[in-house]
Amino acid sequence: MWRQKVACCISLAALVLASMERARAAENFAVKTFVPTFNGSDSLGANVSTILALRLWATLRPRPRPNPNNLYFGVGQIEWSRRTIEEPQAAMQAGTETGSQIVLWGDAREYGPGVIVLSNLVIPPSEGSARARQTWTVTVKDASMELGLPGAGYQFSPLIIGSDVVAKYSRPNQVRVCEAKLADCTGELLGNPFRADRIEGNFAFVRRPSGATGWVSLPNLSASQSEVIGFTAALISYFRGDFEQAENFFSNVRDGKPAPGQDIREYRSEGVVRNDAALLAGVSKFRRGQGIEGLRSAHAQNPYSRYAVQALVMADIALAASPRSGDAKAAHVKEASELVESYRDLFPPDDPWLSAADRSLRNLN
Amino acid sequence: MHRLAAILLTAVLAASAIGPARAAENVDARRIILLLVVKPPDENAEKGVRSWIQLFQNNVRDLLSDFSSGATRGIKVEVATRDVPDTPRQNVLEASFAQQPSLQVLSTVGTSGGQSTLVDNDIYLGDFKGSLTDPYVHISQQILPGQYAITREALAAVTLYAYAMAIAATAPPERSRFAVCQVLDRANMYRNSDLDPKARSGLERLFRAIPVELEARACGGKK
Repeated sequence: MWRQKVACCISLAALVLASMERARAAENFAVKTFVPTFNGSDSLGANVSTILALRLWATLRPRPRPNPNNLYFGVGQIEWSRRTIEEPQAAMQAGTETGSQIVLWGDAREYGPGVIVLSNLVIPPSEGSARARQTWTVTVKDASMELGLPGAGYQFSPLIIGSDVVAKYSRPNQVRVCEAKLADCTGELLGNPFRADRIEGNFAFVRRPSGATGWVSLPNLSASQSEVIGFTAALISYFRGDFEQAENFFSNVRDGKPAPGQDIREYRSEGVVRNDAALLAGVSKFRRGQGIEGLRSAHAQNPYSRYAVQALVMADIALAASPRSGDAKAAHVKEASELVESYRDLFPPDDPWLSAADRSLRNLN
Repeated sequence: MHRLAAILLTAVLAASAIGPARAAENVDARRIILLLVVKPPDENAEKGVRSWIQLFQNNVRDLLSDFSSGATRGIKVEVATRDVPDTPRQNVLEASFAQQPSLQVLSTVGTSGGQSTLVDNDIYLGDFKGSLTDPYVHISQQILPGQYAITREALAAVTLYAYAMAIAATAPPERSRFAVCQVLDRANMYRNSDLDPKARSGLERLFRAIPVELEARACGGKK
C-alpha cells in the first residue's frame, strides 16, 4: 500500500495572550497537536489528514489584531506524522510520547456505497506547566479551585466524502505544489521539509529548502470538517491562553457555523462536541473578561452537567472576590452558595474542588 | 491574512512502532454486548452488515473510553457476535442475555434495499431497562454515508443508557451517583441530535426515560 510521502509539519507561531487573566509575558511555551496519518485501505486517509493538518495550521494566529497590550501566546505546533493510530489508548500514548497536548486521529473507510472519514480527538494526561495551561484556577486567599476540561476524548461527526474527492485523494501523492492557485496541477509533490508561509482562501503558499515556492490546494472535504477544525483549533487557542479566538471557535462549533476561511454550508455538530463547545465558549468568554452570561446560559441549557455548575460557581466566586464587585458581591456569593448546596451530592465528600469551593465561600463571608 | 509564523516541516520517515496499549485495568466486572447476526441474504447485504458491525465495535470502544475512573472503573464492556440462521425471537434474546453478564443483546438483520443495506436492530436491555416499561428498543438504519451519524448517535444513546443503569447496579448511590449522572447526561445530549423521524420514533421512549432517571438521582441538583 502506498502512503503519501508528505511532510510531518511543525508549525511554529509566536502568538500573544489576549485575556483579562494575567499574561505570562516572559514564559516561553509550546502547545503541540499531533496529527498521525489517518488509517485507510488506500491513500485517502493520508491525504485527508494532511489537508486537515494544514487547515488546522491556518487557524494559528500570530497575535490578535490589534494588539495594544503586546500579549504573548507562546508557540503553536502541528506535527503531522506517517504513523497511524487505531484506538484511543494508542492515541493517548502517542500524545505522551510526542509531548503533545492534543492528538487528532482517525480513519477513512467504506460505508455502504460510499466513504466516510471518522475523526477523533484525545487530550493525553499532562503534568506541570502543560497541565496548568489546561486548567482554570480561581484563588480566594488560601483556597484554590481548579477546573480542567469537560472531557478527554471526542468523536466528531463523520466527514461524508464526495465521490470526486474520493476518486482524487484515494490515489497516492495528490498533494502537489502548483505555480498558481489551482485545485489540480502536475507540479511537484509536496515533499519535505517545507515551510508554509501563509494561507489565502483554500490555498497555502509553501516554500521548500531549494527556495522553490508554490501553492497547495486545501479542498473542502465535507461540511463536517468545520467541526473538526473548529473544535480542535478552539482547544489549541484555549491551551495557549488565546481566549478571544477560543471563544469564537467554540461558539462557531456550538452554533454549527463554518470555521474561518471555509466556504461550507452550516452543519450540526455531534451532541457531546456541541455541548462541550458551549461550555468552553462560556469559560473562554469569562476568562477574557466578557462576563458570566455565557456560563449561565450553558448551565441553563444543560442543568445535568456538573462541569457547567463548577464553571458557574468559579465565575461567581471570582467576581465576588474582585475588588470591583461592589454591591454585586452578595448576589454572586448567593448564587454560588446555592449551586454548591444544590449539587453537593454529586461530589464525593472529600472532593478537592468541593472543599476549595466551600473554603472560598467562607473566605468571602 | 499574513502569517508571520515560521513553519518548519520535517518528515517522520520511519513509521514508529506503536507501543503496547496501556495495560488493561484490573476490572471487577465485565459486561457483554452481544450481536446475534442473522445471515444476510446476499453478498451486498453481507458487506453492509459487516461494515456496520466493525463500526459499532469501534464506536462502543471509543464511546466508553472516557468513563474509566471512579465507579465505572470496574465495568469493562466487550462486543461479541454470534451468527444465527433466523431472526431471533424475544425469548432467544432474553435467554442470551441471561446466559452471561450482559449489557444488551441486539438482533441484527441485514436486508438489501436497492443500492444500500438496511440493518434492523431489536435491542434487549434486560436488567438495565431502568424506567423503560418495555426493555426493547428498535432501531432501523440504512447503510449509507449520509445516515451514519444518525446510526452512531442513536446506538450511542441506547448504549450509554444501559451502561449508566449497569453502573447504578454495581455500586451504592452515594458512590455511583456522579458516574451515573455523567453517563446519563452524555446519553441525554443525543436528544437534540439530527435524528431522522424514523430513528427518533424508535428512540422516543428512551429519550423520555433518560430525564426521568436523571431527575430520580437529582443529577440536575436538589430543587
